[in-house]
Amino acid sequence: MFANNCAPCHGSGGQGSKGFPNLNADRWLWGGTLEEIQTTVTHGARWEADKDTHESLMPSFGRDGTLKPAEMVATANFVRSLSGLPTDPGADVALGKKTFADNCAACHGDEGKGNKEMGAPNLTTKIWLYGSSDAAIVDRITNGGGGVMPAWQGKLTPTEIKAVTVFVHSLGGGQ
Amino acid sequence: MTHVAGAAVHEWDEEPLYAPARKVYPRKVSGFYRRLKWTVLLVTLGIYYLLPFVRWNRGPDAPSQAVLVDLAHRKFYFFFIELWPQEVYYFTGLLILAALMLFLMNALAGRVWCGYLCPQTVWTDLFLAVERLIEGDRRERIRKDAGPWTARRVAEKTAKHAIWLLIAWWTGGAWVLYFADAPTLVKDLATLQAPFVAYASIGVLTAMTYALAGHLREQVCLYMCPWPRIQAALTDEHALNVTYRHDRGEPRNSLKKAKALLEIGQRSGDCIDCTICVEACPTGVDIREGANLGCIQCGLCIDACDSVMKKIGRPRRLIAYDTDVNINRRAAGLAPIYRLVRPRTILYAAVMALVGGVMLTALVGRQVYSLAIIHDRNPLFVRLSDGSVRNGFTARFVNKASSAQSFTLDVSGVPGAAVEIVGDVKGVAQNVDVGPDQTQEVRVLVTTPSPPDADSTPIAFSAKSADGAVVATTRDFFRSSAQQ
Repeated sequence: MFANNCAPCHGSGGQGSKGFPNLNADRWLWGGTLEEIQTTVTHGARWEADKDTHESLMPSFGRDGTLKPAEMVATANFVRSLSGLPTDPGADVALGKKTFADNCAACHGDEGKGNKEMGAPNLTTKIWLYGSSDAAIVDRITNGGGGVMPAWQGKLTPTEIKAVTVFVHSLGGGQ
Repeated sequence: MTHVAGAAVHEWDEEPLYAPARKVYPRKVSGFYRRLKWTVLLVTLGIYYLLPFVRWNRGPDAPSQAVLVDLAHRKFYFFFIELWPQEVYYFTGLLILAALMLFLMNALAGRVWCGYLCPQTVWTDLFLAVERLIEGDRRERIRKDAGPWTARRVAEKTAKHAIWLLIAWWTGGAWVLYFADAPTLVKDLATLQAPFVAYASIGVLTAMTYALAGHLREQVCLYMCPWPRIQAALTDEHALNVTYRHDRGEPRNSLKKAKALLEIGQRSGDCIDCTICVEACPTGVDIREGANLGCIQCGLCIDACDSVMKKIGRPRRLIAYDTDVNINRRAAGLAPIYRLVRPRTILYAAVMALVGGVMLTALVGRQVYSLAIIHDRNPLFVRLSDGSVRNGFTARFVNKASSAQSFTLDVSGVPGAAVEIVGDVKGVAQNVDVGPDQTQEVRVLVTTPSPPDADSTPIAFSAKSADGAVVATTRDFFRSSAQQ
């Protein structure tokens, strides 16, 4: 079931890749309990055809002109510091902290710990879906958005969805 | 090519590769070797037909049949021994032992296997006894076969083949009993409830027994069996073989002529050329020609010849188990010597002792519990949100004991590594319960908050039994990334 339906994006071992979450890890944007995984598999993420799908849309701060390039680089460095990663020498972390508080904290929280309800990822972990480099983070801030996962209800039977859920849960990340 | 040469090649070409099979009518004999053969026949067939019914208590969770090949559960039971599929190498040892046993028997006393123990010999002997009982002895059978088909003849033939088929069917039936609980299977067979494969196996083996023991007989030994060819390389001048003592028998003359020759002071051998040895032979060879591919060395010609020697008042064992060395020594006027212990037999016995010892050691030291670990192929490792690194493994616990066991799993070699068995309630001791004679596969996660600064680190897994003793260990690797 997993190999036929999920592996094309998440990998044959559920190991994921850039933009496609690793299902073996313990960070869950939409929750990692059996029920939460089942909900995600059933309704997908940002899947417009399903009204119950997980919704979240990170604004494209750069494209929209909300933030200037220097602010975005500073913010990226601040975000790196949240998970203990080194910052660039000469980076204006104070500016980054302020920009973060004004623009990002609404969803990601004041401490960057994310918010499941908002679909905002925890930025303090060592897991980086789109990469942890300055450039990768600036790219996220510039373009916003997020990955899309199809809703599987209708394609898989409820029993099949449950089976896949249990399998994904057993990969090691299940809560 | 000239016409003459062509004709010669043509003639040579037409010679058949096989001698036409002439029907052998073995004559009834009695004596020591005949009695020995009956005894061996009763013992071997008794074991074969009755062994499946012998019971052996292994406790409530295991079959109670002493000898059982349990294909469904992939187990082989032999009294106190129980083998799993991964232990079939024991059979390699058994085959080596069997081969060496054949070699040793050959070096000691020739084709003991062929003459007394080979299933082909034993069943042919039984089928011949049936034939003799119904159709009479050699001379009657020859006469009847040459004579016309009478009602009595039809009745005799029918009865003979019916009994043959009955024995053959029982033979096939006994075979399948080794593969399932015998009493149950007998009941199922009788009530037509048994699986198709049981009936098919019985059918095939019935046909084979009937064809091989009833019809092919000595042709199997002459044309199908490789052993007569191999044994020529295994015998030597000290090996006891069924031998016509030509030093004593020749020149052979009829009783009357021998008497006349002896009266005028000339030499005459003990053989009176009565050909009873040829008539008694189940493969139809003439032992007086010397060592013979067709001779299975059953000793029946010894019994036959002895009975004649007794009648004419000459010493018995004109045909006897003897060696080439002794024939020559007697001809030279020396006393016979018997050397059963010689380098060849010592070597065979020593290798047998060695192989047997290795097998015994392996069997005694057999691991009752074992643990097998397979690392996840993909992903090799997972970085968790707090920076820990986790590796996934599949572990299989094997419990060959007849009681259930509760294992715990430990790892060592990776600093800070903790083991979690998937499906466990968090914080509860990870016990894996494995029933008697069963295996249990679990998914194991090994996580360390301080991943080694290397791509690959050796890790050791050890399974502990309920009393805390380490009962099985295995090694694998913990994968991580050198680039943190």
